[in-house]
Amino acid sequence: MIKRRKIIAAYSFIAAILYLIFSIFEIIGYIYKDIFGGLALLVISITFFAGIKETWNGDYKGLSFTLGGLILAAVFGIMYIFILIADYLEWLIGNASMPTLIRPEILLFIFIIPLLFISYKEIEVIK
Amino acid sequence: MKRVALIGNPNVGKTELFNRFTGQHQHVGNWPGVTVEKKVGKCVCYGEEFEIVDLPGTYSLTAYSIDELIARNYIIEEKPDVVVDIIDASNLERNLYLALSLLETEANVVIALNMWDVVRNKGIKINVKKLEELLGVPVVTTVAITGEGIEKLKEEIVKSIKDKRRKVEWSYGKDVEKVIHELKELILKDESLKKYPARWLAIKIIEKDEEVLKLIKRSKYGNDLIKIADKIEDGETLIAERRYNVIGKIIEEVLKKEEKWSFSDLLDHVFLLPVLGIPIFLAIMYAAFQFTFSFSRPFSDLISMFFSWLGDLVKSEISNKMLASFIGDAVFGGIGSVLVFVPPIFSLFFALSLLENSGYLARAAFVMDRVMHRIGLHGKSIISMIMGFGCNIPGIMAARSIENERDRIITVMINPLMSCSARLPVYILIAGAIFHNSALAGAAVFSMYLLGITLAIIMALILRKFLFKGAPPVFLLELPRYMFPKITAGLKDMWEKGKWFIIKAGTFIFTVVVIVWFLSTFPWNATHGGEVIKNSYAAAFGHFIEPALKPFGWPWQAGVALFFGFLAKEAIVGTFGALSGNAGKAVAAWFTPLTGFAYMAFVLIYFPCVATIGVMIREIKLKYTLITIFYTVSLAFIVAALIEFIGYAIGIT
Repeated sequence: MIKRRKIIAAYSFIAAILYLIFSIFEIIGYIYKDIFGGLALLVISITFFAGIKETWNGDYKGLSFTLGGLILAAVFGIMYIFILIADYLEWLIGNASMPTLIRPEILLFIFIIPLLFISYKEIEVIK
Repeated sequence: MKRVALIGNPNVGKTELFNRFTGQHQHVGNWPGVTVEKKVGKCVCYGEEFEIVDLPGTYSLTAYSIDELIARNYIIEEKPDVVVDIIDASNLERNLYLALSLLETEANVVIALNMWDVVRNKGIKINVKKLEELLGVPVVTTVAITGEGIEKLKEEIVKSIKDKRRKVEWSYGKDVEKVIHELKELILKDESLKKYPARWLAIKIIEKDEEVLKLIKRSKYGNDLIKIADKIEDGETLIAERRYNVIGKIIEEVLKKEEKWSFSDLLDHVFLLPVLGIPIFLAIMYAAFQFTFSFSRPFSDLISMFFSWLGDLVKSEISNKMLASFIGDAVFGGIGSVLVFVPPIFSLFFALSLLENSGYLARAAFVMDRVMHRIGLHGKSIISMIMGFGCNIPGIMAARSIENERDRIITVMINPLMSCSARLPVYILIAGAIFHNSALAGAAVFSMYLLGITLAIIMALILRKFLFKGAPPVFLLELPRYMFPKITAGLKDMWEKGKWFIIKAGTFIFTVVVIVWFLSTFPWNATHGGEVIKNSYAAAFGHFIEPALKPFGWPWQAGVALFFGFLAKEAIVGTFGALSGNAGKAVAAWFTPLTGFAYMAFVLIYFPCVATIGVMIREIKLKYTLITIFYTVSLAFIVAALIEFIGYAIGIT
């Protein structure tokens, strides 16, 4: 159980760093210009960061931050998948050019899917 | 005959307990003057006959709802011999709020810790003796459904009539206690107030309880009492906070929970954190916002394209040009302009339904309540305000989740000040044309959003002070368990809430579109069937209102654009284009940076669009809609004049 928590902490740390990097990219307009979207990524990054120490030390309270971060990441990832579909529809009806750039939120969501499963297993244990 | 009143939060097993006490000897009627059910029964306990009165379920003893008022008045005025407070023992913290409020009334209280079986199953340990000691009243554990502990409870009721309860008081802090002491001294001097428990009355005066304020106004010390109570700012919130502090200390001493966290506990540990809770809420609202407006866009475009194609088809097939224009532009244009709003509205309701069914929306209101309370609004108002940035219609409809009618009306009335997405093209056109520096143009556009928020806050404070007096109620909220939202339930909710828009608001919008078609295409010959808009009645109207706009340095075309902006704010851009051929160049020629900026502010504030008005009439009735129209138009003139006045004063031309 302790080993799994250390894995979760390490994974959360990488996720937090990635979300932070992409939040800065979105805020400064590198790759994708969306200030508010960037701030939302920053919130996800902070949420992941907040629980790392406790989770690493084996305290289950830290898992709540990982869980919170995962839910936020899933909300944004799934939402942008829907918006991508809408963008393709917009392209199909001839109102916009073909979307060529996938939002980082979708890629980051794919990245955290394994963490979602590991955390779910751990939460099942503490429940 | 001795009287026993049963009180408790909703769903704590009060009815089961009442049935256990009274069996078949019940009488159901109404409380005097209201339609709230009153249940009375008889019970014989240890040779003594009691009348058992079942009070309405309530979370506190404030005067906000009729249920609370009935329960409170019965206890204060009728003074039953014993009041049995039934507590959900598995939710001790929440239930103790009512218990403490009850003890302040100096009633002879016996506490029934009901649902004791749930406590046992959950592994919760409650030190009953310690709880008795801290509250100064008998505490009995019961399971109303099985009858466990009922005999012991009856025994305690009989005992408590003979041995009055030990008086236990808890401190609300030095500052509040000092004021309570001063108030008590004055209350005790007044014969008319002596029949009420002095400490309870003092606390209620500090809380600015409406019913109690009415009562003390009749006292010769009324004004003095209010003056003393005014030493405590926002007394209601402060007392509630301090009462929860007391509850927290009691819980610490009596409750021992095994460290088992549920899924909801884990999420609440993050989502309800004061520091992280608000940013998380804003991020989630941003997601809902994006989903509502970005996901729905192609569907709105498809609808718009379809009706535009239908309009063109009709025009090419019908030889009578006036009839073709009427069917193509007015009828199909009208239906299209209603239906383009359907995708964003339905998307919003779907997103909100998912949030509500997941249990998050209640947390959002909880997290934001403290901030919103300061500006006289309800925690849930923030959801409506944020949605208003996308479109005022879903913003207004999102206010439906606010239970308190006054709070809901204020929230709806300030929503038109939230800068909706339809206003953005207007800002971009004007700022881009009058400010050659793109950074300055961007700042000008952003300032419109800030201006909207600032004015909304000011108007909320004004409305609260003059139209809807009294602070927003401190709301007690039961946080439901988090659940995975069901898509089918979300879709059903979306349809239930959204369908009326098509039926009600739709008919209103359609009518106005037909009127505007008439005004912009007639006189038919002069406008060449709507092609030369400057010869239309609408243009005549522009010239008619020109004197009102002239002091601002705006041309008559700006008036016509404002008129069409009434239909939909984005119509302003189209009107500028129709009147000039090249909107950007024309705007640069018509406006200076100062007059253009003032015009942008005017567009932000004046008159909600016709669709918004249609929805407002449905949601807050005609009276408040008219007040909103009046204040927005007045405010638009005032703000635009102020901008130009300050601009000229500091030398901007």
